[in-house]
Amino acid sequence: MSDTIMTASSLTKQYMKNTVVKEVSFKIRKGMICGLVGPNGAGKTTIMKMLGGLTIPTSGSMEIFGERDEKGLAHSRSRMSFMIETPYAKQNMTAMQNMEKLRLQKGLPDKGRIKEVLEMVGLADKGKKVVKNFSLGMKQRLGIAGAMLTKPEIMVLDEPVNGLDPEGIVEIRELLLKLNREEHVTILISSHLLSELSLLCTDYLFIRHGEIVQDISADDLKRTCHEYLRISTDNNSLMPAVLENKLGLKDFTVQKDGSVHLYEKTEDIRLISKTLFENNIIPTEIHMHDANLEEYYMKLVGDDDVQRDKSADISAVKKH
Amino acid sequence: MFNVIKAQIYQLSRSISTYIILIVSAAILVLFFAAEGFGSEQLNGSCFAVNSAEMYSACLPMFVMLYTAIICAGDMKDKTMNYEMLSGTKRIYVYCGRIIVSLLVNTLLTVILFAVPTLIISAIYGWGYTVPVSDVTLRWVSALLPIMRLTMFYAMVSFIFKSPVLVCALGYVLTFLEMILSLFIQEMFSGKIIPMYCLSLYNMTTLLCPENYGYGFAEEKDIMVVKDLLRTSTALHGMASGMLGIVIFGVLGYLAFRKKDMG
Repeated sequence: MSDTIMTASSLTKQYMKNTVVKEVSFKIRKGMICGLVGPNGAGKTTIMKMLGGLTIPTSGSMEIFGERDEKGLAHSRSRMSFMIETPYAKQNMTAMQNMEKLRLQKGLPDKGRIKEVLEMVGLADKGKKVVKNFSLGMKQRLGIAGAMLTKPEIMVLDEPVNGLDPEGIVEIRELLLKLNREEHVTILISSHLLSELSLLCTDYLFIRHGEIVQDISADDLKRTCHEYLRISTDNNSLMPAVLENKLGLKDFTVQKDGSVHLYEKTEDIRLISKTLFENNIIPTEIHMHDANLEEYYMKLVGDDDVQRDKSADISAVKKH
Repeated sequence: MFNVIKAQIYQLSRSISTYIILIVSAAILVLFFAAEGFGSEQLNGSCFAVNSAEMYSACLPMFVMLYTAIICAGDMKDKTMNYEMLSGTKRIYVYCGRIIVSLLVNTLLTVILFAVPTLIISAIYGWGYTVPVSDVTLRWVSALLPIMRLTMFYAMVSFIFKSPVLVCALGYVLTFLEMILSLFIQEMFSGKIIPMYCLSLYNMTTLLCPENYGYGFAEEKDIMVVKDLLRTSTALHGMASGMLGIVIFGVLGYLAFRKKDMG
């Protein structure tokens, strides 16, 4: 597709005999907010490091803005911004000095941009504070400010809301949405918590044990996880017309076996059954499907991994 | 690469450790000077230049090591170097940028520590007769290359081990081993000049420190003078080996860094 700006093809990373990323392939299209979701240790950071050139892939290739070789990829990366693992910050320097060093290193002429980005992340009044005195959340914000310094076309963010309080999470989410909608920044964002990304992403890559287990759009995910009625009848071919013409229902999908997944008015089972009967269609199955995002995630990446992540999060909160 | 250099210089100029090392190195020098020659009858520029050379050759490698470890390994430890690569700077530029800053800073440090006190003392007490200005100049200029070679060696160690603390610890051990090896070589190959080129420290010491002293008579009194001036050929050989070392350590360091997975 012409709007594909980043492609990973069979990216693999092996440390000795341990394969941490296995044959990962995906495409990122312009304007996407793609969530890389998986439990801790699934390989999310390694994938991002390979995209950023920090880790050399054992095999596989990538293409960013049409560039494939190392020289071209380095040039492409200058149009991107990353925040991987530790946010950019020299601990003994102030926020302003850190941004100024980053500005010099990126060769940006506009000094005023520093104030702009610090304001965007809510650190305008903390510019003269030494970073070692920052909270984890403030460091994350500073990292995001650093990532926004160049007005990038793609942002690659590794767990950017890690350590933020709920208010901070909302602020960062709104900021990323704003960047995506107003400045058309494409975002690849990772998290081990699907719920964090569900209000943000347009697409998801689910990863487990270094492998992409599902590449799905947010709409499809919503549809899959949404509460719906599965209706099967003795005359499946007629059913869609009856639902549409007699009941005025439009939000449904016809499955391969002819059954229908109905996403609206799911509470009106009696009315739907009655209408079908009246039109000489006998329902053989009407079943309420109510899987939620969390269940779906657990099924995909495995209960054990998610459970382990949750325990880790709880103990981290307790410690905090 | 130019941007990496600018950013590094900005960072160093705002780092307190930069000034602490400079102050400490100057303080050590002043203490040495106070203990050795302050108030002596022979206090003058040439006497100071000769007497301080030994002190420089012992202390300078440590300061060079500290600065190089901070510049090359400091940003690897806290992962801020990662962001240079992430912003599209090629590894060769990240590497060369740091190497150039390390060489610049250590050369500047050497010049400041060598020249400033000597010039001040010369301005106050005159130059004297211990050693001619040309010999001291030749020694200092030629010694800059072994110092650069040392810088490259510590840079190579920094790019391999990624931690300033580890680099310093290893640097001290290696410096100590090199000193022992220097003594051993001196004993084994007494009078032969070739072995000095193998070790940066030995190379630097040979170029910097006059060996043969004696007494001469000037201004109606006996004064200590340097009998053997540094031969131009020795200086050139020392500089050449310094350059060769710079290239070898530079290439080895880059080979270690080129395909390294950044933590």
